[in-house]
Amino acid sequence: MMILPLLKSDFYRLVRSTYFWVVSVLSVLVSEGFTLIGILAGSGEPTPGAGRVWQTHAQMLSSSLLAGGLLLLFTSILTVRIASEDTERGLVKNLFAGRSRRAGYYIEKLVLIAGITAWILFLNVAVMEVMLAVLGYRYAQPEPWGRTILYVALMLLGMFAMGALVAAMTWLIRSKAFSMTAGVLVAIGIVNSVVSLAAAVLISATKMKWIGTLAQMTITSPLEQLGRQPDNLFITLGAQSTTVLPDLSGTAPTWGWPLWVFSLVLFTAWIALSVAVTLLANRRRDVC
Amino acid sequence: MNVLETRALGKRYAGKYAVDHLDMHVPQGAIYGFVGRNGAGKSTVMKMAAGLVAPSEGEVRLFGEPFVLGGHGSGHGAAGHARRLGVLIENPGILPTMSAMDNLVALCLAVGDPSPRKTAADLLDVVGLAHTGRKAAKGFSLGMKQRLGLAMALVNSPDLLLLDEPLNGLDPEGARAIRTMLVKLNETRGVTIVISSHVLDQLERMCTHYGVIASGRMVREMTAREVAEECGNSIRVRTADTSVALVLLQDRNLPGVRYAAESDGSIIISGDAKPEAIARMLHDDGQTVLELAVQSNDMEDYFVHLMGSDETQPEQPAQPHGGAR
Repeated sequence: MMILPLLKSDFYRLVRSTYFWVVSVLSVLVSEGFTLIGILAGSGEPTPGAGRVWQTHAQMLSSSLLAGGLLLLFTSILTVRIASEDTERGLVKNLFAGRSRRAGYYIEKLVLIAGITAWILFLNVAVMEVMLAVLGYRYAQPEPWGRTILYVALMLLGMFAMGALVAAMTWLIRSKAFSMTAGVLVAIGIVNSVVSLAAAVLISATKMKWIGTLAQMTITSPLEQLGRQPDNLFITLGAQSTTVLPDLSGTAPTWGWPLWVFSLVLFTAWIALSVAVTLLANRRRDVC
Repeated sequence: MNVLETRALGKRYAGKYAVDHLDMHVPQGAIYGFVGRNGAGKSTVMKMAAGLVAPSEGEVRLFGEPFVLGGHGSGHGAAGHARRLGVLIENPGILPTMSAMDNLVALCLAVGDPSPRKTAADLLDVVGLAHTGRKAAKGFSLGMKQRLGLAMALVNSPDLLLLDEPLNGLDPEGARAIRTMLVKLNETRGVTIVISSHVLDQLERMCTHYGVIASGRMVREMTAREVAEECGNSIRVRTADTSVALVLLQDRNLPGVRYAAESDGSIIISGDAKPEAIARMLHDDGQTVLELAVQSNDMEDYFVHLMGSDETQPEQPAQPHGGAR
């Protein structure tokens, strides 16, 4: 099944989809709105005592876009829709009829999800930068562009890893409600918190530190680290890490890696796992 | 050549056979009416033929080649079969917020059509939906949706169409429009059509071949001519000893004449048989004829008989969840 024609078709559908535009606009309104409210409520000073000044671009992005998992939430909503619509409407029967292989279809959908994730992220980054510039905010220690780009790229990779996981769940479970609920719970950090809490309890009860290592392998673990330490991409996690929920930093599996490497490896692993599950589970599965 | 052929095809759900060692033969250029009760396994067979459901056992052959889901190599129709197969199985895959034109353009783009707008416009003409403009498909009547579904099945100019209950819920005028369209497609483009339907009189007006399925098994395949012959007048005979009379009649080996024993002890004789000849034969063989009557059958009676009487209707096979029929 050729990927490019499928992408063209999905793009054609997407630009005509009210749902896509509504979610895009909502993501901007909610993310930027919350940031604005937060700034205004905190007397407009992101850095206390420094006036309308952020330390770095990465700090601004982490505080405004990663915090609360709102962007992850909107990406999950769109992902579930994209992953379930063809099956729900029956269009998948037209697309699969007479075709013995289906991998191209699922790969195309994952490429589309990556594209939509990039769209949502870049749209929000651009609007946020413009909005704060108009409001007169500046940066005390602007980092090199390369570093900002690396930070945004890691955010994108993390969001896509999350999207790929939600899509894999949607195709595997075939329940839109389940996938949407799971996506929301992961996006807003509840799953990560529960896993961390359970790990902490288990460690104290069993003294098995590998449980903590496992708990830090969740998909949102590096996203949380990126949100908390936007300026520490190149510093080894174990030395700097301070976790909010049960402190598992002593068991962190960073293997002496800096945050950006840890995030890159973990996100890539989750993407690879999601793709593998998707392709293997749907290779010969009945579609209706 | 058979465009579609299945050999010992089987599908089990939770250990129960929905389709049980089914052999099916659809010749090129045929309009093949696939007849069976609800739950007999028609939709499952169609889904397996289209590659939407993996068979538990047996083989599907499309255009003379084996079609294996998840298979590799050119012989397994990786893309070739897709270009030659169109389906309308259960609900048409319509995106409700888009117009008929946009639905078709999106599908044309997905299958790599080089001129999607032109193809979409042509197909809308064929199915009589060219007038719908920008109206969203969710506002269409059932008949319009079925016609749009048919247009979607025709994207890529298929050589074989698999249509599962395309006449369901249509008013007589709508059913006639679709029937006319299918016959036209068959005659002008040579499209082979497999159509399942409960509307037997509509099938009677277009089908060249029939397959009757009951309880997941193919009961019988026959041409329209054979059906017409068997649906004509038949002779009902009751004798003092049914089994002996049946053997004696069969031993006569009359050409074009078929015999069937009924549960009430009578024998139904169909085909080229004259009542007076049958009476004479039985008399010559020393059989006591209690009753001999000529009766006429319509196609519905005939197929209902083939599918099994109500009393012998098998338990419905297990269904996959979500798999409506």
